[in-house]
Amino acid sequence: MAASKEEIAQGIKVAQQEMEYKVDLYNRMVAACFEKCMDKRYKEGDLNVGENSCVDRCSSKYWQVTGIVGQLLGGQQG
Amino acid sequence: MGAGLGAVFGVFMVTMDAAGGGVGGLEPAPEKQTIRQALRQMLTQTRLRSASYAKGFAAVGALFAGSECVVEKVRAKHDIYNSVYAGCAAGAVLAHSAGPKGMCVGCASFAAFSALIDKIMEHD
Repeated sequence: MAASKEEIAQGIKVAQQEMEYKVDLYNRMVAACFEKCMDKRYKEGDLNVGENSCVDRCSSKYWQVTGIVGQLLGGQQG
Repeated sequence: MGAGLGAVFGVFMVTMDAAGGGVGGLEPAPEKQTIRQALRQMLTQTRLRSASYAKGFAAVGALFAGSECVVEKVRAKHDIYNSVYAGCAAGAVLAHSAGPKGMCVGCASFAAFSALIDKIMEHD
């Protein structure tokens, strides 16, 4: 039951990499959708209906693309 | 908000009617009414008229605002054309009894009107 020290270290390293990957993905998604959907005039502080809808669709598409590309890369290496 | 605006408009219109029409506009009073009776008559007319105007304005406002929201949600953009399309839809629905030509005219006029209003509000 006691995993060896190398295994624990390896597990931590993998978890760290995964965490970094996820954070990077999140940041990129937010930046891309913000760049695409937001009107830069900033007339008010709240999102209006159009921007809300745009961000919704943008993030959904981004996630789907991530999934497809991930599957492709995973399949290639495996 | 449309209902409130309609009520205000109704009060305004009835005041104009009562002031301008006099004996000709409202029911002709055979003998001279006291000021109180004339005022009460004017008040009832105001209430009725403004209620009817309020309903009309509320309906138009709801129609326009609803269609603008739907159009913006579908287009996923925020610009002036949302008002134009929504105005066209509202104008066409309002003029539906006048046949297709009337609907086109209603659409164009309402769209132009709402685009103008939006331009003014944007510059504000």
